[in-house]
Amino acid sequence: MNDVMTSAQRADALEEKMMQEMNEAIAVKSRLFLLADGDFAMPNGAALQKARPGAKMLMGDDPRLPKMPAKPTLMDFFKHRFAPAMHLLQSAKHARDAGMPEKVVLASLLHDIGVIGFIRSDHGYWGAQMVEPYVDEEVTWAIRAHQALRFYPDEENGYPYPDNYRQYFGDDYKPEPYIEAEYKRARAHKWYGTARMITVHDIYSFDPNVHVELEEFTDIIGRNFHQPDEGLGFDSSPSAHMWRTLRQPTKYL
Amino acid sequence: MNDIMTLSQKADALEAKMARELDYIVIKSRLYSMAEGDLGPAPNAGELMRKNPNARVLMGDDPRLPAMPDKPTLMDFFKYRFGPCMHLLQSARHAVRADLPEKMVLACLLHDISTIGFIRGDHGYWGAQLVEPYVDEEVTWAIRAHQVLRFYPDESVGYEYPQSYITSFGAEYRPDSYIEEDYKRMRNHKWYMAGRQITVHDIYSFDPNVHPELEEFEDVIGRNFKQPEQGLGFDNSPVAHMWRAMIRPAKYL
Repeated sequence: MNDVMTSAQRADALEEKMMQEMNEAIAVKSRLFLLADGDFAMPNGAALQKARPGAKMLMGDDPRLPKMPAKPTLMDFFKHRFAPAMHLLQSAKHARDAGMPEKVVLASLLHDIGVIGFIRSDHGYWGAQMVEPYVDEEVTWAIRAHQALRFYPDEENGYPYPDNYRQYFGDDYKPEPYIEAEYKRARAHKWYGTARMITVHDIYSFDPNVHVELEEFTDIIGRNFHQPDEGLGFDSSPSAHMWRTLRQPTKYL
Repeated sequence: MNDIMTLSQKADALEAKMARELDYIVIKSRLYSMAEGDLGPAPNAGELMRKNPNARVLMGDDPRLPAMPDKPTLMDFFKYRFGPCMHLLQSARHAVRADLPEKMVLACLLHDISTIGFIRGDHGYWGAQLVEPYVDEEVTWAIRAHQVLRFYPDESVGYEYPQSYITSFGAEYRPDSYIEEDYKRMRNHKWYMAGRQITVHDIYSFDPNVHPELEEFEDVIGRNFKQPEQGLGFDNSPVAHMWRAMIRPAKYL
C-alpha cells in the first residue's frame, strides 16, 4: 500500500499518525517495573510533556490493554488481565477429581495468580494478599503457605521435591532463611494439610492434552469467592488498589 | 583503559561478560509486562535453560542492582532502591518549618515513597500499605488520604487545586468515582486534617536551590518509624513481601 501512496498522501498519513500519538496520553513505567529491568531511570512527566506538546499523563485506561467492565469480577481478571491459566485449571481439576473440599479446589485455582497476573517474586504472599478480603481465611493462609511448602518434600502426603526446581534453581539451591522460618511455622499450623494439598495438586508437568475450561469452576468461585457488588478494585477493601493496579498498571499517580 | 587492551584481552573480557549474562535468566512479572502494553505469555524458562545449560532463573540478588544489607532499614531503601527524593525532603522540611508534630513530618517524608520506589498508580494506597506495620495509625491514614485529598481544594488551609495537575492531566480531568467516594468518607474523618496537612506541605514547585539531606530526618525516623530488627522485608509482617519485591524485583518465584 505504501508503494502506491503519493507523497502528499504519505505526508497526510504521517500527520495523522502524529496527531494520534499526541492525543494518546503518556504512559510511564513505575519504579518497581524499571528496577526489574535493572533500569534506574526516573521518568520525568514534565520533560515528557514538553517533548509531546498537548499530550497528558495517563490517568485512565491504558489503550494498549483490553477494556475491562466497570464492575469487574474475578472471571474478568482471568479473561482480560491474567496470562493463560491452564496450569491453575489443571491443578484445580486435579484437586476436584481427588474429591477435595471446594475451598481446596478454589485455593488450587487461585494459588498462582501472583505469577500469572501480578508479581512473580514471593507470588504466594502477593496472591494471598489480593484475595484475602474475598475468601475463607484458610484459603488465604494456604495460598500464602504454599510459597514456602513447595520447597519442602512431604513424601508421606505425596509431595516429593519437584524435579523441575532442581533444573530451574540448581541442585545446590537452598531456600532463604525467611522461607525456612515460614516453613517451620506452617509445618506446625492447624491448616498445614490444606496448604500441603495445594502443593500436592500443583501440576508441574503441564499436560498439553488436558484442556480445562475456567467455566467448569464458575459455581465453585460463586460459592467460595465473595465477589464485591462494586467490582474488584472498587469496594474500598484493603486490597482494592491492587486490583486497580492490575486494571490500570500505567496510571500516572 | 579499553584502548590498551589487546585483542585477546578484549575477547576474554567479552567472554567473561557473556558468561555472567548467561548465569541467570530474568522472566518478567505479568504486571511489569502489562505496563509495557505486552500481553503475550511469559517466555518459557525451561526452554531458555535448554538453550543455555549454564543458566538458572534468578532466585537471589539481582546483579544489575546495588547490593542491600541483610537487615535493610528504611534509610537503606532510600539509598539503594528509591529514586531521587528531593520532593519528599522538601515537603518534610516545609512541615518542620511550620512546626508540625513529628508524626506529620514523617508522613510528609513518606507520602510519595510509592511513586519514587514502587508503583505510581494509586500511590497513596500503596505507600500507606507499605508502612502500615511500622508507623502510627494516623500516619498510615494520612498517607492513604493524601492520594484523594490532593484533588480537592480546601481554602480554609490555603490548599488550591494544583496548577501542575492542570498541566499534567488537562483542565477537564475529573477524579475517578472511587476517589470521589473516598473523599467524602475522608472529609468527615477525625484525622481529615492530618491527610490535608500532607497536601498543604506537598511542594509541587520543586525548588532547585533547597537541598535538605535525608540525614536531617534521621531522628524523626528513629523515633516514629518502628524499624524491625530483622530488617524491612524479613520481619514476617503482612507487608514484608512488598519490601522484598523492591530488594529483588525480578526474582523468579
